[in-house]
Amino acid sequence: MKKWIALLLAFAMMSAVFAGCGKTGGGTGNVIGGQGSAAATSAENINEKQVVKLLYHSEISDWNPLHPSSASTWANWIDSLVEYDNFGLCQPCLAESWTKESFVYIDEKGDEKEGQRWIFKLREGIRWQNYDGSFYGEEEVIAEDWVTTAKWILNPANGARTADLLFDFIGAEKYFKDMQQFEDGVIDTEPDFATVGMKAVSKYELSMELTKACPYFLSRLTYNWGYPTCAKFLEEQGDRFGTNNKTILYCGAFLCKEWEQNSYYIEERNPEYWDIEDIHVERIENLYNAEANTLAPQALLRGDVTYADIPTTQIDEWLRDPEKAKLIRPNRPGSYSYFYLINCMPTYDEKKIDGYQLSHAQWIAAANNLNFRKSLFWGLDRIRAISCYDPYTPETYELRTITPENFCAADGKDFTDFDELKEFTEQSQYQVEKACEYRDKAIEELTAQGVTFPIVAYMPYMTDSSQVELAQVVSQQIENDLGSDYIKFVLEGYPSTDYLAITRRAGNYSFMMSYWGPDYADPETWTDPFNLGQAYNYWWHLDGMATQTDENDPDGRKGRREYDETYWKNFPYSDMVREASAEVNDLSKRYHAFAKVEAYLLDNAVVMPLGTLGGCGYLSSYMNPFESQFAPFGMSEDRYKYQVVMKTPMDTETYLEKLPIWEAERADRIAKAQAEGRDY
Amino acid sequence: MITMFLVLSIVFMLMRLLPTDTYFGGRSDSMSDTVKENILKQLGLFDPWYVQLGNFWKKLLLHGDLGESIVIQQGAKCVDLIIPKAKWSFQFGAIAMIFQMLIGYSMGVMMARWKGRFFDSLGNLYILLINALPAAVYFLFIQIYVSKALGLPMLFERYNPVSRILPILCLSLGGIASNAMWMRRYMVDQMNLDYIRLARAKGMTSSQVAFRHVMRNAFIPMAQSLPTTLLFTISGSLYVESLFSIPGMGGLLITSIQRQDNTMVQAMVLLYSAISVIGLLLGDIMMMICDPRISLTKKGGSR
Repeated sequence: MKKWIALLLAFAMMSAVFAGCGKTGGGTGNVIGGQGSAAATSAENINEKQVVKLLYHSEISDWNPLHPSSASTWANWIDSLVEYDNFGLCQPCLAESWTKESFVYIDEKGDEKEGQRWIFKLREGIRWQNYDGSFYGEEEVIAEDWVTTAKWILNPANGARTADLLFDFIGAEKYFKDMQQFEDGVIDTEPDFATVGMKAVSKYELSMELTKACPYFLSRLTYNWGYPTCAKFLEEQGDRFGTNNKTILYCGAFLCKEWEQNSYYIEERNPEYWDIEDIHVERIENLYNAEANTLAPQALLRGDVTYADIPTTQIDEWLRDPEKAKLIRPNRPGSYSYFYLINCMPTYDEKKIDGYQLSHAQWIAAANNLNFRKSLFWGLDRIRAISCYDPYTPETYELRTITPENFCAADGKDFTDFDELKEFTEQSQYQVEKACEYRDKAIEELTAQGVTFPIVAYMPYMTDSSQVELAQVVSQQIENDLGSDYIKFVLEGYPSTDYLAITRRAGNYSFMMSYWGPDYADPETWTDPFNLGQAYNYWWHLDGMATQTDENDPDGRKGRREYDETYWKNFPYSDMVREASAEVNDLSKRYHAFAKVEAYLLDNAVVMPLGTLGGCGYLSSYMNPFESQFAPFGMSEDRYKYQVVMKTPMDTETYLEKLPIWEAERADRIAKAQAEGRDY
Repeated sequence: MITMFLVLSIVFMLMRLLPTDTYFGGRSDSMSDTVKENILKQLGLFDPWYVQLGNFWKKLLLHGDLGESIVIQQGAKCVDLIIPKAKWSFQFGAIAMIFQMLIGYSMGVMMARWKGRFFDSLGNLYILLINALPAAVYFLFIQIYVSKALGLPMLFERYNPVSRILPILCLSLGGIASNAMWMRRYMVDQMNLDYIRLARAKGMTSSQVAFRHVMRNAFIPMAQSLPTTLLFTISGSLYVESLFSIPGMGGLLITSIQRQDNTMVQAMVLLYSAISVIGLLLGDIMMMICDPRISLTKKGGSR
């Protein structure tokens, strides 16, 4: 143990000497974790004991790495082809290198199409291990293991939740549907997996063939469909595969050595890990506690946990106590974008609440009026709304676009700083005067149509969350600024169970807050919620916005399964997204096209950006956020690679000092990667 | 048996009326329709209700298979999820029940014996306080202040036997109060009956009367509920378990319903309805043992 620390320190000092030479940023440059970031933990602040202790309050629900869509339990246990570094750039992991090329293929209709082929050259000699660290026979991690994963996911009988993420592989969707038919006995011959564009070219060479070029393909590989599975083990385990720590195989930085249900699980550093120099944490102890969230802050003070979120209600107390104040820092803004929606397909009961009559006809008339929508867009006080989540630094979390900052960049500029979005980003979106101008125009136009005022807006909220306060603050603020004789909000609380299914997706609202999280590293991901097929604001229902058609029309797309079974075409937003995503070679062009799409969305005022409420608030942690692998999607932030446990939790001052350093370094690296034409 | 069949079938049908979004994990908004429909199909939710119900009963009766959890811990057998939790709850519940009986009954007996005296008033004060105060208040008081005063851990720790004291105390308090209250009541009732007066008149000592006649008769109405209470300790206490972080059953049914883990809900409903039925049966047998006047078989003749 002592020897290891000495070694670690020696290494730290050495790298400090070297790192100090060519550094441009500030900081002392003593680096262990964080891959040469000036924001990394300095050697004197490295804890002797590299043990992470955590509390968890709900039992691990998905042990099967092939099945889940969001679980990150095994993020440290199995590696993927690529991984993110601590600046948010993709780098080799189990794949040492890769190439991509276009090729021509014949699609199902017999047409010639241009596809994209990625060939990954795998790291050789990585062996599969059991939970206790012993090798699983002679089995190595080979190209065939990814084919096994894809085969399992694309077998409908397994009911995988991620099958559609593979549908742009050549032949994948057809294979999936054929398998369904084969299972139902409609066809007699089992479809051949060789028709799917996922093949092992050789033992260490894996080929993936896409139906069209995908500029953000690497970022998609960090999802669980991009993880290898040992075919021999899968077959051997059968139904038991992926039901506990002993029925999965490991090739990652940590091994889950012990697990007892509702009690604890212990992860230990894998001594055979291929990149062990970058793994500094020796052990991760996870203790079950039903009240983990409530207890964590106290447990942290006693030194029993490494990380604790400080509940909003306790922040005051912590900040007032000088000793405790030293232990906490603001959270890094999350990657989820929160916004308000105007619903264009109201389905709520037309009932009377508090003397106000809800009416679909009235709301639809108002929602169809651009000036009405704009009066709300410019009349919503974002900062005051965010204060419900973080009363101290709400500005940090404000968003003026749907796409959050630090998500993607081109030509050395962050997406949110593009000229196309200037109109929305360079001025505050809370301008009462402007809002009132729009209001007056809306009153004039709507009165002419025979609409009566106030417009009654139905606003549901989730009862067991901060949304209670948010709903009250926002509704009162808008009513005060625009007049309650103009708009009157009727609030109704719903429990968290099935909240979104009952409210937003069902169209059971007029005006409500919701959110979206990115699925891959491309601005296209932020257009998804507002496009056909999604249950957000159903804005294709607006008068003259799109043409309604039926299911026999080849151009028609369904509104949304289960909730809006109508078919639509000529929806300008859809068309703009399609056009923008057609540009796959010139990233700068592509991003600017998406910026235009977003400007169009904001200009129509059917959705109003709010902030990144997900990461709001304060926390106390012995880990350095700038050392952790960074990506707004996938499981990167749950991986412990590069991270060290510090002697003391990071305080606010240090955090605020290091944040700009890290941001500058990140921008620098992205610019460099772009200049070199590297995929990242 | 018929009761269990009906209860389970009704719950089975009700679970099928809920929205389907929970089956898609966190991807409800971004998952394609093809995949969604496939998941529902694999869960058998597209079959007509009688086919679904039939399959469920066939699996249960022929193979004793309650199925696998679909949300709480995907792929794990429901039984494997329930048994370890039930063990914890039963362990705590059974110990607490022993205390409830020992302390509760003796308290009731003493209160009845010295009715109207100081001990009786003290006992009544305790009963009143426990019943009047919301449990949450004194549980929290015990967790925060009593743990500090006695130097006991605030949370349950698996390998630390001392940490079990406070949860067991919390679990016992309510039961002690009600056991004492009913024991006292039934005993006071009995003491005023003629046969007791006769026994006294015959010259039996008051303690002989109290134990041989009064207590035995007073115990009969309480005996019936004992087996059910004991069996139901496995369902755990929602509040105490979450307060002291005991990995028991408390809240599992609620969580399963909220997260729409249909198979788990069915397994637990089956378990609970079985307990109710068996508990009632055992209760009747207990009554029969305590009271020779009651018989489960028909006796002809006497009227």
